Amino acid sequence: MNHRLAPLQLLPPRAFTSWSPGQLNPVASAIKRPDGAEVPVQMPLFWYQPAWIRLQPALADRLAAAVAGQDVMVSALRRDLQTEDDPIELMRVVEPAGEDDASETDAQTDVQRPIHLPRMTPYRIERYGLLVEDFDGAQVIDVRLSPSRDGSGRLAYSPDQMSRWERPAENEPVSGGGYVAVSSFPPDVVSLKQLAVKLDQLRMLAPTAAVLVSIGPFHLEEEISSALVSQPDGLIIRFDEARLSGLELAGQVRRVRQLMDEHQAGDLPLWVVPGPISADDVVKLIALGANAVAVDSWCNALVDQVVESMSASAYDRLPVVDIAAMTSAALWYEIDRVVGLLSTLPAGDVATRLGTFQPDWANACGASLLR
Amino acid sequence: MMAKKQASAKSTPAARRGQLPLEPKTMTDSSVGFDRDSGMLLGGGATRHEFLMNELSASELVQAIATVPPALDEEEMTRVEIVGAEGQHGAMMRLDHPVKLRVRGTLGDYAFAFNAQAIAKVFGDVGHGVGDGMLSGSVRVRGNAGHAAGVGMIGGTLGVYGSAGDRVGAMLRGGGIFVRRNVGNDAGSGAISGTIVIGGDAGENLGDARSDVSVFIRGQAASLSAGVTEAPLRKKQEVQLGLLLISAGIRGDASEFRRVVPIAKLEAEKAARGEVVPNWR
Repeated sequence: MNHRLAPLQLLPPRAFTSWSPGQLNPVASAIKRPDGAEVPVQMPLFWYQPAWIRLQPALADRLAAAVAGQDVMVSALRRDLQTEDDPIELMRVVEPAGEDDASETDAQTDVQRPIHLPRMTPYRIERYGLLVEDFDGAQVIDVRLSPSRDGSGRLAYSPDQMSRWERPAENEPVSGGGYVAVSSFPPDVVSLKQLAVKLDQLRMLAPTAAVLVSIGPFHLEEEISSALVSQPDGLIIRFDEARLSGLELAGQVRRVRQLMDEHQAGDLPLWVVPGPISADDVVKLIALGANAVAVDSWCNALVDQVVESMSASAYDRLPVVDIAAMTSAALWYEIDRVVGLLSTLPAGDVATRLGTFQPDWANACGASLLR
Repeated sequence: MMAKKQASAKSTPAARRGQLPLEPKTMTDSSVGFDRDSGMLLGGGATRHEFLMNELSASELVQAIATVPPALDEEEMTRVEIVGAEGQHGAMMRLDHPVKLRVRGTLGDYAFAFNAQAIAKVFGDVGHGVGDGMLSGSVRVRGNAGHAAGVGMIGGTLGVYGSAGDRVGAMLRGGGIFVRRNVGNDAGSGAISGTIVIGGDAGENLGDARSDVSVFIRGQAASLSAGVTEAPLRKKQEVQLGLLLISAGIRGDASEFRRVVPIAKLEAEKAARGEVVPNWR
């Protein structure tokens, strides 16, 4: 595993000082909505950009549910995981409303809500593939304000992707069978101020979810201040779209948190998509100010494994592995290490939590310079 | 749109018929069509329900409408009157109930988003994103609409009897939109399926080269998007459009309209000697 933030050290308690373990569950948190409701987040890990198109929908669903079963929030639309109208495992109710003390309670109505597997609904500007049911039971609505490139480098959706999402009639491909370009701003939003109304709309459509806005890493100063005008419940920064060194990544996460502080949004959750990442680096990013970190490099490897395990038979395309067991085996160590390291993370600023022997890292991140 | 007071309402049964404002006496061609069956709302024997938007939140209003029993006779849908509309945002979003709704007043942004089954008429203006993601049923607006009317619609019909702002039918995925008067810039951008009918003029960048949507326009477009062109209607489209115009109550002949089509699609049509080629890109 590549440790991009290796020069940063998670600081242990100082000698000759008293130390006690942190809270019992150091990884659980909640996102507050403007209506006062709190959206629980079991684990500060999420799978942001799964390559569902590489798997048949039923297999994608099994993998998504297996990853979500490890408390890693998974981003998916129903159409990513469903061929017809079959039930979707990722969207099943884990705990029916009112049957257990653990079920969530609506802050406003005191009505108990069922618990679902942790899921994020990607709300792309174009909405291709989106169904109204995608809002149901989601914990996060990810409003993607800036476009992303696909695997081919295009700012577009492939014919296969469009076909998966839109299910056109046979022999009638979407838009004549070509790539469909992405858009750069929601067509129904006329100003950043009015974007706040858009986010309110999404909160109404998804009463159990927090509405986060995601942006790319290229115009952060400008886009963060703009995004915060719309009063989102949190920000997602897609650092993976730029090929950042570890030093650049750490410095940028620190800078984003400072920008949020400057805009009186220091309490808002900051979720980051860092690209390839190790468990240690996840915790270091959290120490730098992130609240959750995407672990796509761990989870996309599972897609590779499922693809490789597929039977070669044209009549039997089932994988020869138990997806749930494979997922558990692959993720357990990494997740446990994140939980373990987080349990030792002291409260306080970056310098209290992180140190480094390299002056440039100390300058970029605010970590203590160790001598 | 201005921020409005929280939607609220009171439900009362049908007995307030006499308190409703009268219809305007002067009617244009569009309002004739718009009101063709509105008279039935005021008379007839169907059960009528009324809700005031001033005392219920948006979600409470939708829940209240959902409690109205549907008519046993599919031809005679249960009628619901909504009064107190003062520009509330998010009104009647995600309504999925077979009723006929009539709204008196102005609605804010995202009215009737993800509507299914309901047949609605709004006697006033609406804000941005009316009919966002609509699935089925119909929404007709007697006044003007803001930007992105019918954005991301999947099915159903949206009619605007006044003018509409920019990006009408953006990201359209199905269903039909007709605007009696003019539309703004970028109509149909990102649309991949469905029909857009423009009774008046259009602004800049009408149509979309990647689009497979049927765009029909009667007036003039300030400019077309790159990769699209104007072409006369084919016979089959003339018939389809004619039926749509009759249904919408818009006077005029389908032959007055031209269609805006991707050049690649037009060439594929010609190459196939009149038959539509599905994979034209």
